[in-house]
Amino acid sequence: MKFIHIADLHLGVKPDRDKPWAKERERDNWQAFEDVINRAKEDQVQLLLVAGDLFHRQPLMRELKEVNYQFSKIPQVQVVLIAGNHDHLTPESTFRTFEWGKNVHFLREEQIKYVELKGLETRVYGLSYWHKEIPKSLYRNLQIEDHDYCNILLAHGGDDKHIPFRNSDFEETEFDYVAFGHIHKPMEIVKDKVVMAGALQPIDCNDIGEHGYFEGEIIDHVCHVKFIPLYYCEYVPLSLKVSPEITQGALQEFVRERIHKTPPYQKFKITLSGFCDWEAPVDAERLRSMERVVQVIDQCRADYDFEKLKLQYGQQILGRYIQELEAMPQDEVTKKALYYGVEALLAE
Amino acid sequence: MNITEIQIKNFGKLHNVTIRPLSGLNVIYGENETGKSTIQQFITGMLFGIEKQRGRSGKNDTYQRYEPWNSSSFYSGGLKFTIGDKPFFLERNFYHKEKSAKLINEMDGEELSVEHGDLEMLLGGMKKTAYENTYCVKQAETETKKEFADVLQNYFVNISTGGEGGMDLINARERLRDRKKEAEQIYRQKAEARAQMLEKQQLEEAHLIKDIENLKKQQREGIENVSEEIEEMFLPEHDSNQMAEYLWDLRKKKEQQAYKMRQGMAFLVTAITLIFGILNAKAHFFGQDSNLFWTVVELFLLFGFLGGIGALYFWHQREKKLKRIRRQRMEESKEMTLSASREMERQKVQQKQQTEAKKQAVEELLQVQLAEKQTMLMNLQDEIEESQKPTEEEVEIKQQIQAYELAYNTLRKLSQIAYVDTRKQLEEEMSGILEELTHGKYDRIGLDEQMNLVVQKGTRKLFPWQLSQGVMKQMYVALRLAAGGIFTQEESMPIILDEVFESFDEKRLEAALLWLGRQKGQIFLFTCQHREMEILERNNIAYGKILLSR
Repeated sequence: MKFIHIADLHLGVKPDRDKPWAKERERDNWQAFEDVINRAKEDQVQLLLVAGDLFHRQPLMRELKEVNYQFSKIPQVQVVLIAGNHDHLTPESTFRTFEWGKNVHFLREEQIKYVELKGLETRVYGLSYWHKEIPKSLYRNLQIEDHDYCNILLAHGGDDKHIPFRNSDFEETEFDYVAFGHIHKPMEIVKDKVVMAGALQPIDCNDIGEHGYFEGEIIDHVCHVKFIPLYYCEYVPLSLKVSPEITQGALQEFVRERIHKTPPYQKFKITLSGFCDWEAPVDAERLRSMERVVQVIDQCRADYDFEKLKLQYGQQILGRYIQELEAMPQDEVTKKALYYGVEALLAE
Repeated sequence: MNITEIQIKNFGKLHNVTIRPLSGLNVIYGENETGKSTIQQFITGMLFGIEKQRGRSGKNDTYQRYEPWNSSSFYSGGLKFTIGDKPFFLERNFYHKEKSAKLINEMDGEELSVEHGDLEMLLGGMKKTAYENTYCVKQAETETKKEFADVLQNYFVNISTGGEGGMDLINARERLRDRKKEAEQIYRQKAEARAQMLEKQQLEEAHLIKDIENLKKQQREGIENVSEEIEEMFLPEHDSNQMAEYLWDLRKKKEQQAYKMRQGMAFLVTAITLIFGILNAKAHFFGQDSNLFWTVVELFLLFGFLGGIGALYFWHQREKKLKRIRRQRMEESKEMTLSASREMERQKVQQKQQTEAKKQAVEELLQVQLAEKQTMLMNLQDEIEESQKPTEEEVEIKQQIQAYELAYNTLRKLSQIAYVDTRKQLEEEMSGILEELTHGKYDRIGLDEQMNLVVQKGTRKLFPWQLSQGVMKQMYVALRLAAGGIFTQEESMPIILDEVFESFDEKRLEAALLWLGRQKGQIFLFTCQHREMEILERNNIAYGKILLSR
């Protein structure tokens, strides 16, 4: 049986909302979903697993209708879906009462239930989120009723507040396949068996790296999957170590050229580190407004050798300043203050 | 710093005066009114410039005070000096309309920029006020001992808080404060942008809430409106048509009666002609009495009879026809009324169903719209909640601000500690000088815990006012000289002593001059007495002698 496993589509999300490409990102999210539907048709898969967070928030009727329409385009494919923490079911939610097409099976119960797929000899187990958070390990020690069926667990979670689990919980699992959602980074928790699909496309700029879905096949209880990336958007971290010799203009030119060489779907998350001129610090705001730059984190500091400075300045104000700050609890503010003070004292 | 040549071109009462002092001690002797203080002002004026104060005239304005007597626009001079081993030449035009300064490194002929702070850099960042408060020692302008004690005290405290390290500290703290301000401005911009978005969302929220209320209202009122419509639909129709039918029938009925009347007439004519015909036949028999008269009568009767029968038939037919039409019409009409009412019934039901369906559809539509809007509202409220949290960038900038503040406060704390250090250093330096000037009579001077200046004589503690004016003046000189030493460790400035030993007795003066003779830096001692020179010569202390005359 061939299947596709997707998760965390977050339809309706508005990523990079203050950026010029915000609208495009919103559209591309839907386009990526449509691509999956087309792929399911082309590859003649029999099962489409949607592991939660199909929607970013409570879905609107028109969004549900749109999704249902997409599913109706592949009537030969059985679709099984659950609600995740983002689109969790509430007493008012339309999602809960929506009437899906014949090929769509919504595991809307709060407890683990299964749906039996006719003709596929398959049972898909799963539950839907009825609350934003479920801090209980509900996926531990699940009982499988009939091992003759192909048994699949459709699951959502993986951090402390959302059905936590340990990888070891699944090492001996009796499920033929566990289709996870929630963590946005795609990964095979247990190779070919327990898979976190990752977000279909990155939701915000913290979702760095490739995103896409898993396509697989289960034959005689043995499963194989492969990751298929989609290229609508990819956030790429760009770490730049600067020095006082690099001027603002040179830095911008470098970034522009660096970005120019990459495919257009990549967006950049710049982290500045290294030593910068105290008198003319890097203007991070100007970098932020550059094309395809999504975020700039300025961690530019002077790379001082504090031990040496302490020796050199000993009991003088600079030496004392370093000692004073090193004696304080070391949090981000103290660390920054150490650099700022030394920079200010050494400035000419 | 060593001044090698003073070129006064035109300054106050002095014109074209050139002085070439020695690198060590110089005594500038002159009687009153010979220009001693003019030279002092010239030196500080050359080093730091002279600003003409606006709108103020009077004795306190240095510019006006030393404006050349002969020509106010020619107001300039030059100064040659060495710093380290490098010779420099500084020229200034003080005239406020053509103010200029030119600084040349005489070693390589390079021109430096006074405007851009090159001179200030050469002077180790020293400012005019700092110079005047340390190296320029003048007679304290005090009248009473108490006042003098206060001057001493204040001076000590002021100097200690602005020690050598303190100068950098002030700059460093200013930098930190500026950076913090910049960060705060960016933070405000970011926070404002978020606040604007939040405001937009809240506005949208208000709209949604209003929409939802409207929908709910429509849901309630909508049903009532629909029921009114239904009643309207059930009002009777077609009554005017029925009236027409009735009128037509009435008209036809009258017509039918007219036909009946005509039939009656025809019947009457037929009957009369028949009776007369019979009577005629009884009397005559046909052709029995063939008289023309009777023949005419018989013929007339015959025609009358035949006509009557014909008319009777005709009108009967007409009546019959009308009757048939009426009956037909009546039946039709009956049927029509019947079917019409049935149709109406059907329509009524249909309409009712339609209305019902419509009502339901409207209700459903409202319900869907309402649900949709409510979902939108819920999602928007989630968004609002998210917007209320500061962004990553804001958190970062906030941390920066806090870090700048922490750095600033720590430096301030440390500078207060540094003050204690400077104080200690100052006390030591001063005590050394004082000990020498007083031949070991007073060996310790410093602040007590209440920040009062205290002098130690052996084990006895004395406050300044308990000392003689002479000792206090010694202390004052010691303090000024010590402060100067502490301020510039790299490049000492020329010390200017203006009649400070006037009230010293011979012994004290000798001690002071011996100390001065041992100092490394350049010293200008201004005096109007000969005794300084006499003592120096007696003690074989080398010095530069500069004599001023009227």
